[in-house]
Amino acid sequence: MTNEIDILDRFLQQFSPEVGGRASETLTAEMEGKLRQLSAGELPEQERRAVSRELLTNQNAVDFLLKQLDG
Amino acid sequence: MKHSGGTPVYRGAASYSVNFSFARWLTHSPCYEENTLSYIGMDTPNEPSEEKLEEFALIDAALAGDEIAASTIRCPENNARLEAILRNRGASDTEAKDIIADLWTDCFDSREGRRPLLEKFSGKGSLNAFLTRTALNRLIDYKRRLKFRGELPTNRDEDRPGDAFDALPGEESNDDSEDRLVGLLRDAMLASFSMIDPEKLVMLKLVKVHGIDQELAGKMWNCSQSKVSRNISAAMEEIRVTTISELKRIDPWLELRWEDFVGLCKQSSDLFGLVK
Repeated sequence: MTNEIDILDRFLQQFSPEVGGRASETLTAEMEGKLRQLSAGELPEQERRAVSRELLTNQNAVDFLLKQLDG
Repeated sequence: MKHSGGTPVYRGAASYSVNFSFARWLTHSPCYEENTLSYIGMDTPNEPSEEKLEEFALIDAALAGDEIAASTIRCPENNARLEAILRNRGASDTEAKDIIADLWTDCFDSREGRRPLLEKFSGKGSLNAFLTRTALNRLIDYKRRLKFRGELPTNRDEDRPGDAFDALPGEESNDDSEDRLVGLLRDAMLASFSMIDPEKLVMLKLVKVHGIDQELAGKMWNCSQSKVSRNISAAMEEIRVTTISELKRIDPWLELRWEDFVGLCKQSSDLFGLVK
């Protein structure tokens, strides 16, 4: 079965890159720290929403998180 | 003549038009530069399929005035299919017939300085998909104009000469290169995503797009794998419901099922997207 969210995500990357996660702002050291905490399951609940918003709009944040999970 | 995948295949003009068609495919192809370079280098270019060449041959023949080719494209089956698609998406019978009749005219004729519509067919996707998409765009455009006309300003100066339409902003372009479908799908999706809990949306993307294991996602959010699974299902259902609801808000006349929405998103990416 085709992955629906994959199709929607690809669509947004192409037609609304600024909100599809293609934006690639440089991560601050503070955000990198929070992403490390998230990958380790140590990010406080009250901070997860803000970090999630960053992950939805910044491809660098996603790449950084995935790298943490790979390592 | 035979039929393949719903598109009639015409062979009569292939002998003189395939070379031209190949050149057109080459210049319309997303891999144009790559193909051109490999062509110059005498490497084998990424050739279009036989079916694609036949489609281009059919179009080229029709545009050159070949009546048989034109009537193959404008066959009763294609006409009925396109009209049915529009009726199923919210057009009245008369609207569907009028839009499709105009579509056929524009396919082959130059009007008001515009090229025949079929010249814009790039070969990405099938001819059927191109015609369907153009018809849907025109339906959206038509319905929005109807609504627009129903919202004429009522407080205009009665002594002022001219039609009430003069008081309205300039008409939208009827250029088929403007894809209203993309705008509609994007706006509905963005509105939907803005309503979803960002944490659930991130879980959904990490698991379904980036392939993160649900158990690992659970560790990241300090919850069980089953809760991640429930969150993902809930987020997906919310996206479905809110997207369709938003589509109805933007264009209340439009009848679009979720499967249609996803299919149109995929088609849009395939047609207009960058090569990965």
